[in-house]
Amino acid sequence: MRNSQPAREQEPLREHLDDFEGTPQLDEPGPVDWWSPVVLAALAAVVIIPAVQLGLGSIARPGPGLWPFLNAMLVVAAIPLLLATRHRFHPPNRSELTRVALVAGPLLLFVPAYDWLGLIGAGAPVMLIVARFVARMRWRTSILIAVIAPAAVYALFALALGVNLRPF
Amino acid sequence: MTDILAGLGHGFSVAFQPENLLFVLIGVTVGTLIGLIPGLGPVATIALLLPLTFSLDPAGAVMMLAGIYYGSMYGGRIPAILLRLPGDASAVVTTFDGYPLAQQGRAGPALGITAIGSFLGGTVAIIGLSFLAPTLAGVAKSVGSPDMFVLAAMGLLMIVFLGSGSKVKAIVSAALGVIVATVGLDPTTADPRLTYGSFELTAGVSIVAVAVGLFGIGEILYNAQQGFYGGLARSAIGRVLPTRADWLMTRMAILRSSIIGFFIGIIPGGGGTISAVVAYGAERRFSRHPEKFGKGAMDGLAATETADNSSSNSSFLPLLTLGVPPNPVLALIFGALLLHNITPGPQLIDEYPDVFWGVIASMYVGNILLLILNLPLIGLFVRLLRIPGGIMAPIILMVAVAGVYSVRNSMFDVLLAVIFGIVGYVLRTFNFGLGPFVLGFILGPLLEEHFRRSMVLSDGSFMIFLTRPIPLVLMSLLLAVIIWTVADSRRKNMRPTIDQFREAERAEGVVAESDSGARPGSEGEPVEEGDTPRHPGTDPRHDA
Repeated sequence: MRNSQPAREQEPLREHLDDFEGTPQLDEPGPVDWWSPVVLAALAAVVIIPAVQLGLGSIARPGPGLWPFLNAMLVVAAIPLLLATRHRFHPPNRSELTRVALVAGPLLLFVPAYDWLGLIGAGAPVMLIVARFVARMRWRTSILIAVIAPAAVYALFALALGVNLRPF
Repeated sequence: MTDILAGLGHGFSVAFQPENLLFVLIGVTVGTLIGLIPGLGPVATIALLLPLTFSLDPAGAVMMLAGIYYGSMYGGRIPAILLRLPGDASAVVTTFDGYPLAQQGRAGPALGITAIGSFLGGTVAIIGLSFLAPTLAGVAKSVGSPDMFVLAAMGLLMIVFLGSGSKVKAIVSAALGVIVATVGLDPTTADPRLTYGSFELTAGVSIVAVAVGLFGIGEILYNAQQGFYGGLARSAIGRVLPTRADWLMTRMAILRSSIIGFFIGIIPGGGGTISAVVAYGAERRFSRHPEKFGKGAMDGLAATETADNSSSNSSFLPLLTLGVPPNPVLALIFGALLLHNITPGPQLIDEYPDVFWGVIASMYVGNILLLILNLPLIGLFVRLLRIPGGIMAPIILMVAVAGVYSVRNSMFDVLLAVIFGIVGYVLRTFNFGLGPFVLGFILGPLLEEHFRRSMVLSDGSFMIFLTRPIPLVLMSLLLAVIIWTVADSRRKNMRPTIDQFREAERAEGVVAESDSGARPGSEGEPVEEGDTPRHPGTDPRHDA
């Protein structure tokens, strides 16, 4: 596989910087990114409609909707350019997506669970899932992390910094 | 001159207050520690720790955040050199010569010379900052709304045009950031905007939720996708102090790069990455052994790290004097000041001298502390690299959640942070830069306020931006950058064969060096890696 990717090896600086700055690697194998223009068009719509309803005013007397409207129009103006340049992207595979979902999902559930279980009660299962199933730590290590991390964070924020957090 | 010395004297009296000394020490130590965590750069570090500063006084908060910033620059070089795992883009350049040196058993001197270079580069930049900042703040006091609008817009656009990659995507990212900043009440009419009926959103989107989400949680999601690093298997680095030959080879490189880093740092968008790349390129031209670059050139490594630290210190200049953050890290520090109801800008020096001079003076102190931490205590930090990323990630998540909650005691903010984490992950996957997003978010209210005021002043005429000297000069500069960017990209497109040949030639050298395996050196055993200590994009094997 290493030999099949000469282009990536030949451009270390550009490739590495791109990876950090979230920039396109035009020569990277992968499907053309049609998602971005579609999602951006939808996002622009959900900004433009309420902005117009708020009132654009005039250039001399800008209304509350003018500023978001102008920025949303900037996004709209970029869509044809994105379509024309046909950027490619590197889609994550199923196992990579699963790992991401195993972090994001429990975190999203943590928010309503906090009201019932508090920081340690709601945080421990999240930590356990992340440590065991995403980071693939041993069960023993995962359980230790799940118990100690929320308790330590509670101690730091609630006891040391006086933040109003419930442990359970 | 007398005013500057008096100001500095006042700054030192603030910085030497015991609690502020403690904050600086905590800042640089925590910055170094978190900078150590591969894949977690200074932006993520500041974002994660931003909530902790909420309960501090403004001067102490910014001193600590500044300490975290340049501390993480010091810390970030350690995994870059030992594991070829850069925490941010600028540390990528550090890996070019740092990692080959570690492979040759010279990890210790590589870490030592970069600590010294970072200290000297940082000190040169702080001296420049001390003397230039008051002058620039004085000039900036005459800046009006149209000037401020153009200045802030230029800052944002420079980041877009000086960043590598798609400019269109960077502009979209910045526009999205500006749009998110408009959520809440209209600053003039108090009409709720883009709140979609949510009561919680009328208070606006918290900078902490955005920053922690995009850079903290988003980073963990991205690392979860790629697999966490496994930790350093062995951590013997041997002698840290560079030899006399190392010092003689690098001293001029350090001097040149300090100056390069200082000037590039004050340009919006010019921060660490560009300064590191420019200094590396410049040193390659000056070096007597350019063929060693990429294979373990000590002068190349010293140049990179010196410029990086110099630019990180000088980048405070536009923030403290003009109120325009030149990079995402400074945007977060800008946000921290806003959390304390302080708007950075030309008035800062008069209205908050404790903050202005205290922060500058604290940098001298912090830089010395970092040198102490990074020479005698380097072994301790390296040992911490043995902790696998899988253990760090859950802890970071918990800190992120509690930190966001602590600012407004709001679980809604935590929900927003998780959502922005997912947004950050998606933006990264589709190659949209996060830097322009957060800068757009921070500068958005400033841009809107000055745009609306300018339009009212000029009765809707855009000529107001063209008839004043400051906007004219700034727009000419921006135009020059745009022309240079377009010309540069055309030149690259027209010369792929030459560039690819040159890169291939260098890459072969690096690969050959790496493939030859670790060679025991005279000053310590080569550092070994753990099982999966890789960051995507830093390892050709990533694609395998």
